[in-house]
Amino acid sequence: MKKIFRMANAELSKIFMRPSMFVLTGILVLALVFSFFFFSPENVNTKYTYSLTNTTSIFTTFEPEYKDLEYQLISEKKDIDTYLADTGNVYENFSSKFHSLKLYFDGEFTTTVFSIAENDSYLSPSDYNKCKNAFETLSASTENIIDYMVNNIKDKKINFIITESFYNEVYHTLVHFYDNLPSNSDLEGFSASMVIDRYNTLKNNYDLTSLDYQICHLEKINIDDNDLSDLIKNYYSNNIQESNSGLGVAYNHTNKLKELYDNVINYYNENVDTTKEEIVAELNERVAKYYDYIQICKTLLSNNFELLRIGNKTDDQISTYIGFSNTTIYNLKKEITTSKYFYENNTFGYEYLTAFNFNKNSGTETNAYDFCFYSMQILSLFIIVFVIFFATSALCGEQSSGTLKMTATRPFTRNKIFSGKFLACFNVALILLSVSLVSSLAIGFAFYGFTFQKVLIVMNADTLFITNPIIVLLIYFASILVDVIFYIALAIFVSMIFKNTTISTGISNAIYLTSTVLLGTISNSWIRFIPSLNLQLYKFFTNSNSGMLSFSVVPNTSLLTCGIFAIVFTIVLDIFARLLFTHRSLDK
Amino acid sequence: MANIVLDIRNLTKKFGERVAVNNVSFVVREGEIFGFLGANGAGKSTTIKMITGLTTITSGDIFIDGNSVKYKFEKAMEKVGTIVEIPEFYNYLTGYQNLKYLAKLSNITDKNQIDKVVSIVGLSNRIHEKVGKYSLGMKQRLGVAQALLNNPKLLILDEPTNGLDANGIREFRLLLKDLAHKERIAILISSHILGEMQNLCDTIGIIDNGVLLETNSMNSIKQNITENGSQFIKCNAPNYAGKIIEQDYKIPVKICNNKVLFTTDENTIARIIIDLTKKNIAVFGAGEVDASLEDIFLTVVNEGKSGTGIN
Repeated sequence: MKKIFRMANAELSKIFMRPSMFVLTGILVLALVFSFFFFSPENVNTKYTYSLTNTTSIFTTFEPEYKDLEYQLISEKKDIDTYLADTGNVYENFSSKFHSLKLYFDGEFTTTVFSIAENDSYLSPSDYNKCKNAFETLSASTENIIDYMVNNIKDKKINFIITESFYNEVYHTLVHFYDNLPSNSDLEGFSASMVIDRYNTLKNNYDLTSLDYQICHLEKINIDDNDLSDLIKNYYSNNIQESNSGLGVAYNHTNKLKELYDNVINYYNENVDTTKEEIVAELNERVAKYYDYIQICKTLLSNNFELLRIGNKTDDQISTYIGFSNTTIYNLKKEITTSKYFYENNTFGYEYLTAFNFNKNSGTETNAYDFCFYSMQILSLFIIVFVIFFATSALCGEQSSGTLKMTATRPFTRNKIFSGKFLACFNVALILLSVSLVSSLAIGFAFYGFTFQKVLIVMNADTLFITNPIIVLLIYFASILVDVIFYIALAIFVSMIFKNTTISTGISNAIYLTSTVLLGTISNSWIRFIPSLNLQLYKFFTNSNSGMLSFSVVPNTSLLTCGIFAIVFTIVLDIFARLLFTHRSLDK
Repeated sequence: MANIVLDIRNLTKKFGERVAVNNVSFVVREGEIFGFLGANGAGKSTTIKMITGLTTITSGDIFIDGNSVKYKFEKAMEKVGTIVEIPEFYNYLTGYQNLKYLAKLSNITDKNQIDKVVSIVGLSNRIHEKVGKYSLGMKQRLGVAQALLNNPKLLILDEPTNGLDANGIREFRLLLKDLAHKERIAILISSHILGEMQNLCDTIGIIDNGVLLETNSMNSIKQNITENGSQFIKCNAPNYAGKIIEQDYKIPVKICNNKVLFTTDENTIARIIIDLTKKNIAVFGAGEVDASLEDIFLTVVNEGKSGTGIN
């Protein structure tokens, strides 16, 4: 063991004297300066206050807006009511309309068309009337279905699931079908054979039978019977009771909301038309509380409802369906956890900082930690890129240049040499990252100041804890270290296989950069098994869009799964690389 | 007899089907300079790489000061210094920094040690320059310095004089002789420059095609040669001349082409030449047989190829 530390120590001093280390230091300093100038965070955690200075103007602005908010809340409830009331309704209507159309086409319409005499002469008046009626019926049915689809299915979260692509298929089929139906004036010039031709065109080009079958077999979202009855019970019974389900709790908001509204209006009535700063601030504060509370209720309500409906599907399944393209299970659960906490503890969102995100404020004002996080994202990118290079050149590079002979003929087993160099690379990363962290924090403090607010973190979508921002930074720091260890192992492994520093560094860095960008833009189930996409464990502590280059949509997995997968793969890479290295002949 | 420092037993190395080193065994003792001779590709480097752990051993074992290289590598290598081919250093560090790095690995904390080895190899005035600026000769010297860092009992040098000029080679030779005879370091040196080895080594091992054909001390080799006769007389009737010398001077002779080989002192040779001339034998030349290592080497290798040994 001591030997490994000795090796790591010697190696570390050597790495710090490399010319490339000076290049890296220069880059990091530049990057720090640039990040400072490009730092322009947007506010995410907004406290809803008015920048007006008179209590009356505040109140008169507030009046219509609160009504609007309450209406939004009510319409959330209405959606649920609609869902309950119309369970299956829209689906049944759609299905039966289409089925009728198909039946009509296959049946009466076909009979009518073939009942007119086949000859080249123009249609007799009675034949003309028959055709006219038949086509008109067909037309009307088709139009009816198209309208129904547009008004009832598109953009509405109804109870059965139709994918975007299938919706379009049905819609366009019907539209083209409709366009191919002759108008009355067209029919006037038709002969019997022309009618039959038109009939054949419709029959051959539009497969109503297959679409009908698919519509009948659309996979419905079913709410569990128990959940459904709970929903109904809570809604209709109007009981004020605490329940564990966020849904039940949120339904019983009415009293609290009234209390908060009364707070606002009473205070206003006591202080009409005042411009005194403290009073205006207090009124704003009460308004903010009201808004915040409504948001909490809305979130709880809508998210729980959505979760009920789609909780058993995977994210990539969900995203193909109409109305759900921006939804992920992880985010829903996370928002529910947060909102429930606020609701149950009588606190409000803006009282806490959110977990740090790239180029976003965690609170209502920028603080040192926001800048630090931003700058660390950029600096850690460069650090890892270079550490990958140091890792490949430590073993593979030294073998090519012949300097490894000097080390290998010392009383060190190959394993110890391997471990020592691995450790040295890790230490380089650790030192550079620590210095970056401290200097970013220092600059942040100098220009933005610290804050005394605490951060509210939801880990793994269901565990909530409130903590000091420094701890959050340390969690982020730890997750970078996990990534570092993985990438060092990867770089060494690749270099053992390709035996060429340039190629290995290139490949490892390509994997690193694409994983950092791809991480989360794709949430396919099979992608989750790519080891490098199971990194950036910090994403389990924060919201989406927290990474610089990534969109960090968290796949429907857990922190533990990801962590274990990453660790196991790192160990596998290490073992194989070691095997290759210990059995290699070191001759040029 | 001095202690055995390096003990190689039945060492074999196979690369797939090809046998690069075939059942090689020899020893090197304290204070001995062992020359390992062979053509390029004979198996010298491979053997040395196995000793130093740069290549794995197929079968057999190597003992350094009693420790097995196969099973106790770290203990075995503790008192070994190596230069394998051209020593490579970190070009962006100075000679001193390079040595410091290696000293750290070997847990040498005594600062004077580095200065000491630097002065032994004569690099004291250039040691603080970056190795990237060193000439080949300087790198070789730095290589020796790093090999001496841990006060080794065994020094292993693989073709160390490649690239050195005549002066450099001579200085190197003096240094090695010093280390062996004064410090009692065992030295294993491999080379294909026979002339130099002849001046340097105490013991010779000749390897060809992976097989160790012959191991002998330089003294014995010289003796073997002189057993054939250390003087010669070239004449037109060698057989007749040989009979005369045998009968009249009672010295055993050997006939080789047109040369008569025998051993005697200078005065006797003078009398023999006068004698032969009186008997109308044309003497074309006379002198000392050149007992060169090259001759021995070629003989051994050729006989090894044809299956006979040297006597």
